[in-house]
Parts: sequence; structure tokens; C-alpha cells
Amino acid sequence: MKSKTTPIIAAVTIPLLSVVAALALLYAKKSSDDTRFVFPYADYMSSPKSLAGNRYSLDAELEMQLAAIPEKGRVVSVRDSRGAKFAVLIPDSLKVNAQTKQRYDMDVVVGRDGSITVKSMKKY
Amino acid sequence: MKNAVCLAVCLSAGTLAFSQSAQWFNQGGANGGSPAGVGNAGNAPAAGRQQSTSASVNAPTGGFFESATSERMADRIFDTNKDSLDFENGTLNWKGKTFNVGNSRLVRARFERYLSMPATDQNFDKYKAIIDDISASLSAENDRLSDAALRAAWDRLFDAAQYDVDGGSSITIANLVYQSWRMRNEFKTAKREEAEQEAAQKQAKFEAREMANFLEYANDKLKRANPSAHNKNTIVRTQGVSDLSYRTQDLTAETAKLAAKQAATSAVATSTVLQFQSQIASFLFERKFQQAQIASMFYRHIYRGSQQNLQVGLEQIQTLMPVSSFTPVVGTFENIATEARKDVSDGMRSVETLYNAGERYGALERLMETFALGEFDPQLAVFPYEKRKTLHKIYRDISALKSLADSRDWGAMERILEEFQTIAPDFPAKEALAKIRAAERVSDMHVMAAKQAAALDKVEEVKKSLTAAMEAWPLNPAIQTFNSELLGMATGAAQYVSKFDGFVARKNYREIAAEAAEYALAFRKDAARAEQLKKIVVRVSQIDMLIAQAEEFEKQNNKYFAWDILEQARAIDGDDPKLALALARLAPEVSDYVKLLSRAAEAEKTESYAVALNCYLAAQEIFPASRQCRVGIERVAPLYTK
Repeated sequence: MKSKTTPIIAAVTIPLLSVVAALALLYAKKSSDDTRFVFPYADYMSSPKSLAGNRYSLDAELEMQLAAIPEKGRVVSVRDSRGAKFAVLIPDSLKVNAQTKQRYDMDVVVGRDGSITVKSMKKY
Repeated sequence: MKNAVCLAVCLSAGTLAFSQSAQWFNQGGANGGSPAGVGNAGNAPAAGRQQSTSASVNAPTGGFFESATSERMADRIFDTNKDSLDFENGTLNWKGKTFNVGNSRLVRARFERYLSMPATDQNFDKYKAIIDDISASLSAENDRLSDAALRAAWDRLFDAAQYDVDGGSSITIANLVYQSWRMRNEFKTAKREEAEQEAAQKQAKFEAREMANFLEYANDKLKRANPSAHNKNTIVRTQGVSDLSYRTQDLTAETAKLAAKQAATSAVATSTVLQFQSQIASFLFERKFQQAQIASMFYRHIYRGSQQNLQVGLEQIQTLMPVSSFTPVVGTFENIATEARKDVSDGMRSVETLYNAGERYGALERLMETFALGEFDPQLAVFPYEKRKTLHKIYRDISALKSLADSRDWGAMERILEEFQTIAPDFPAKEALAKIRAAERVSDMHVMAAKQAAALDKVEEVKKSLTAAMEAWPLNPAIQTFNSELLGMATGAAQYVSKFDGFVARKNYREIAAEAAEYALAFRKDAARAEQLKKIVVRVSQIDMLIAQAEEFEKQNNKYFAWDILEQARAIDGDDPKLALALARLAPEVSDYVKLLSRAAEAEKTESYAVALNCYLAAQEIFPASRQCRVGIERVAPLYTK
């Protein structure tokens, strides 16, 4: 005689295992991303060009487009998780449909002229 | 406008009804209708005439006040139904009683003399105690005062006379009393002599009758002793007839002498009473109330019964007390004097209170009222000299205001009125000051118009504007300056050119703007420099306007806004010294914002546009409404990648 509880256990255990597996994957990915530094706004404001060539991660909300430079991209003001407001360039080459009031996980690089250029960005 | 100012001044000065005589005011009124037109050169003369006419129409009988307005102000001081001064007739109406105070000029002179006279430094309290002592001794309660007590009160008069404040009036009263006493003694002696004479006369009459009876008896006896005589009428005794005749003559003469003596004695008595009453009346009519009061009291104790009825000054007392079926007695004088002295005392208390409270103008008004009634009262004489001196200055200044208004010397009037704010803050100067300043401004505007016309070589316009400026304010210093400029224009043009070029080279635009009118005159035939001058003046004016705006925002504690406005001014002329001062003063207050803006500007200079943009964005976080940030962002954002 088959137990009546077996299907129920299976129904609970399988999704649970799936969630655990997903979380483990996310954690594993996060650990690999943590090799990037968070964009240091205060350091940038005190000496922008000293950060030239550095790459940083940036969690920020897009506020408004300040300018659209043909063949270059869009200059957008963003507000990071600490509330600082500054401008970044989203190159056309990224081909992202960036929306204001949306939060993005960005990968940025500081140029020699102090410009901040987005290398990749993902909505989150 | 001139009339308006006159009216405003009269509004203030009019309250000084006492001092400002009818003539004084009438002169002002007559001169007041000046053809000057300040607000509107065309309409003002008509307005001036209209106002002048209106003033004369509204003038009360006697022409004491210039206008209904000043009359109302005067009513504030004097209830015209009861107490008032009529300088036209030189009378003071006090509580229905009319006193002659003399013409306005004399009263004014006396009041000024009073204000400039030092107060007596003797102890007024002691003097007052003596007078109170005399009054108490002679009061109506002591109806049957003994001769000794009366004599004691009389002696005190000599004590009172020792004080300057008494002015010798106590001696006058003492003399009157003494004269009455002497007359009374003489009267008594005369009456005694008359009685003796009457007795002697009776005796002589009796003796004459006895002698006549004896002669009749002797004659009858002689006739009976001679029965044989044919004609008995021829038998007459002649011895003693002559004696009888002489006696009869003597008796007739003595009777006539006695009658004459009685008449003379009565005349002396009447004369003394009249003299005493006359003196009391004289004291009262001269407003010497203390003297009238004391003299009346002595009179009441010296003369009694029918002598209390007034025999002198009936007509005058009827004028003083216009009441029908009024029977004046000497006590009436005393009552009036007592009441008047109380009014004087109240008035002086009011003067002291107002003065000590800082209301000097009010104190002066009250003092003038009180002076009109109690000019000769010792209470006025002891009013402190320092206070009198201050009030005298206010009085003189108010008099000066009127003459200055007549000559339209607004500058001098303004100075006096401004000084009043310190020495007599209760003086109603605000309205007059407002009108004076309006007149000055209008005159200045006409001068400015004249300068502009001169710059355009419009001679007729210059003349017209200068005439209007002079009508509004003949002594306007700007007119004199303008005239000097016109005179020196021909020779000074070259100097102005050299000076202008120097200032332009040094970018000292403020110096140029300060003398813009003079430069405009000098460059009226130099189009290039005139244009340059215009630009400089506009630029400096814009900067001044922005600085003023910034100051306003700063006052509202909106310092970032103020800075933003100053930045706009800096964009016009960054070298302006006044602007530099304003910036330097405000910078510490907005240092965080300023620092970011400076960095943005520097980054822009070095073409680090990305850095500049982020500095502007950071500054905008401090002051979101910043125009400078908005413009900066708009400017550098498109250059982000360069």
C-alpha cells in the first residue's frame, strides 16, 4: 500500500530545493562580482582625475538626461545609493533602453578627463 | 505744494495760537498763496490761489487763525465758548470773563521775555507759606477778626515783600491797609471834635437864647415902670443887645464850619474806600490775582456793611461778569481771583507733568495758556529756567518755521523739524516733513529734467525746468550746482573728456556714473563718448539694482539666492568695487556653494567639462533653484565627452 504522505513531501521538497539552489547560484555570482569596488563619490569630488582608469560598480537611479551627444551617447544624472548626484555617460554602443526613475546596477570607468562612462548596466 | 506745506506747518504752528498773532498769521496767509507749483507746475498756481481763498473764507471773525484747520487745532487748546484769546481786540476770555491782555505783539514780547528771564532762586515754598498764612488768617471763617490779629496778618505782608517773586505787591496792599487804618483814626478824631463842637454850639445857642429872654424881660419891666410915657415903644433897654448880636453871628459861623467839617470827614472816608476798591479792581483787571485776593480779604475785615458794595468799576465788572441783575460786591473780586489762581496752579502742574514726560510741545502749549491768565502769578515766576530755555527754543523754532515756510526754505525747515524729533517728539512734524520732502523731490526732478534738456541743447526746456524747480524750492542747492556747471561747461568740457578717458582706462566706471549728469553735459556734442557714457551708466545701474535685490534676499535669509543674484551682477562687471564688497561680505555665509561653483568654473576653464558638470550638479544639490547651476549644467553637459 502506497503512503499518502509521499506525494506531499515531494511537492514541498522539490520547490524548496530549487529555491536553495537558486540562492546558492546568486550568492556564488555576487561573490565573484565583489572583486569590483563601489564608486567612491567623495574621492571623486575631491580629486576626479586621480581615479582615472579605475573601474567601479555603481548602484544608482537614473534621474534625468542632461544631454544627448551624437555618436557618443547620453549624459544622464544619477543618484547613487548614498544620495550623491552626478553625471555619467551611457554610450550608444551599450544599446540599452535606459529609463529614468529606474535603478540599475552599473559597471563604470573613470576617464582621464574625469568623465564617468558606463561600461555595462543592468536593471535590478 | 507750497501752500500745502504752509498749511501743514500752520497745522502745527497754528496750535501756538497764543504766540502767533493775527498779523503774523495773516501775513502768512497772504504770502502763502504763492504761485509756486511743485506737483504740477501748471495747476499749482490755481490750487494755491484756491487754497488761499479757502483759507480766508474759513477764517473766523477777528482773523485770528489762517484756516479752519488751524482753528480746529486752536480749539483743542481753547474752548472758544469759554476760554479764548482774541488778539484782534487784545482780550482773553476766561470762563465767561473778559480780560484785556494787550495786543498780540506785546503779549508775544512779554511771553518771550518771560521765557528768557531766569527764575528767582529764592525759596518759593517759604514765600508761598507766608501767603497761605495770611490767607488763612483772613479767611471768611474768621469773620470777627480782632485788630491785633489783623495787624499780625498785615505785618506778614512785609515778610512776603522780602521775596523777589512778590514783586512788591505786598507793600502796595500793606499801604492800602495802613491808609485805611489812618483814615479810620482820623475819622474817629474828627467825629469826636465834631461832637465837642456840637456841644459847644448847643451851649452858645442856649446862652444866646437866655440873653434874649433876659432882654425881653428887662424891656417889659422898664415899660411897666414908666406908665406916663406916651409912646411906650420908645422906652427900650439897649444894654446887652450888641453882645447878643455878636453871639448870634458866632453861632451861625460855627454851625457853617461844623457842617463843612462833617462834609470833609465824610469825603475823606468815601475817598479811602474808593481808593481801596479801585486798587482791588485794578489788581483784578491786570490779572494780578494773588494781590486781588489778599487785598479783598483785608478789605472784608476793614470795611463792613454797606461798604462791601462796589462803588467803583461797576461798568468794568459788568463787562467781566456779563450777567443781568448781578449785584457786585467786593467779595466778587476775591472769588474770581481765587478761581483764577486755581486755574493757574492746575495749568503749571500740567506743564511740569508734560515736560517731565518729554512732551515739550504740549508743555509749551499749556504754558502759553497758563501765561495768558497767570502772567503775574508767582507760580509762573518760579518755573525752572532750564525748562524755560528749552521751551523758548521750541517757541523760537516754531516761529522760524512760519517765516521759513513763507520763503520756502524747505532745507532749513527740514532741519528744524528733524531736531524736533529729539527735543519735542510730540510736535506734529510728520505731515509737514512729508510735504517738504515731496517738494524737495519735485524740485530735484525739475533740475534733473533741466540737465537732460541741457544735454540735448534744448535751451527753452532748460529755462522752463529751472523755473519750475525754483518755484518748488527756490533755495535748492542743486539749482546752484547746475548753474555753476552750466557756467563752467564751456571751459570744463575738455577737462571732462580727459577725466572720462582716464576712468575708462582704469575701468573706474563708478566714478563716471557718480558724475553722469556733468559728463552728459560735457559730451552733448561728442556722440561716441555720450554712447559710451550711457552704456556705463546702464551697467552700473544694473549692478546696483542686482546688489539691492541680493541685499533684500539676504535680509530674508535666502543667502544662496542672494549669491546667485550677485553672480549675475559679476557677469556684468566682475571688477565693480561695490559688487566686490557685497560678494566678499556674503561669501563666508555660502562658502560650500561658492567653493563648488568656483571649482566648476575652474574646470570649465581647463576644459574638464565632466568635472565641471559634476560640480554644478553638486552645487545644485545645495541650492536647487540656482540659476547659475542650471545654466552651467546646460552649458557643459553637451561637452561632457570633450
